[in-house]
Amino acid sequence: MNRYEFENLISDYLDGSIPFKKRTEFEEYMKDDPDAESLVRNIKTTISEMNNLQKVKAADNFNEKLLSRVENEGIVGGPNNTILGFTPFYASILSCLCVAFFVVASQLINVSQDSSFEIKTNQYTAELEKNTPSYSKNVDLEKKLIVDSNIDSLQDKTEKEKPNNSNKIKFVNY
Amino acid sequence: MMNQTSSISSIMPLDKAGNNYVYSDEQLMARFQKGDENAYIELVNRYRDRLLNFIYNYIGDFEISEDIVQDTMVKLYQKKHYYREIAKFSTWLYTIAKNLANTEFRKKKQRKITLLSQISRDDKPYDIPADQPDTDQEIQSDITNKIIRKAIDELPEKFKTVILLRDIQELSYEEISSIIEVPLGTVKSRINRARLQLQVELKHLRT
Repeated sequence: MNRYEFENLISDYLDGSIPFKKRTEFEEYMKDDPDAESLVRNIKTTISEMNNLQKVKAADNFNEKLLSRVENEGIVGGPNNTILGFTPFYASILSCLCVAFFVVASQLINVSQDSSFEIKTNQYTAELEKNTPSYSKNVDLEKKLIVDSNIDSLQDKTEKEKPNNSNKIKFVNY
Repeated sequence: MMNQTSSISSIMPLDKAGNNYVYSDEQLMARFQKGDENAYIELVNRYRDRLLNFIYNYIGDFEISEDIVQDTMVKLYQKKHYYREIAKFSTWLYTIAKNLANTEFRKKKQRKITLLSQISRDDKPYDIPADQPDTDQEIQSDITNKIIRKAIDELPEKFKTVILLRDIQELSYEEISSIIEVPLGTVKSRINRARLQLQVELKHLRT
């Protein structure tokens, strides 16, 4: 054991918390070095002197002063009105932050839903166009042509069915 | 409230056997939290002198120390609902007192009006409100007290706090660790170093 180790173990030795093996080494070191022994003895004496230091006592009117201070200064006995352990001030700040968080979060969710809907629609249309076979396009075209021709024929028909009054009514001058 | 002080013993009998009270500090605190002000007065009675000794040895001025103890007790009243039984009551109260004492100590440093700088080495550094010693033995003891207090006062702040809490207040290492918020190993090491440094300061007393 060297001096440094010895000094580090003094308090443990005095508290009786030093392991047995170290204790033997410690005591052997003290035997070999009278200065070390007197150091331990002096520390022990100082501790007991500190224990016996003259104690001071509070003034007799200490309690009276204290209680009148509590009464006169209107000191409130603790925050009964805490909300989940927070004072009203911090609780209000916290609730504002929570509301702000939910508002921002809901807006962000809406935006992302709209954009994802648009993207999905575009994708769907593109896929639909891509997947539509060419013959069906021709069929569509044919259908369209048929519809168009039907409209034309209908128009012709109505025109034909229109009475030609110009031929029937004649104004005769006598 | 004043009448409660006198009637506390009848309301809350505390069969004291040494330090064994009927109600533990934590039980009293629980009662106080429920609104029993007698429990508060009992806690004040238990701790005022202990805290006063701690702060007085730390600051070195009796009146300021008493004010700090008053402030500590007022804080105890105000902040009673912040106390949770996960910590020992004494640790919690000492932490409040230590923080207030630290603030005062720093103010004092800033103002540069520490007692030691104001008075010469031969003057009385501490104004102890106690009876004057009569016999030679008491005089010797009084001188030793002063020398030891002065030696403690000259320790660096971090050593001074631990030595006061351990060797004068006789708190456990664990309690000190909680109060000053440093690991247990650091507390032990600081106490050891503080004791060694004290021996240097007290060398002339031993020769």
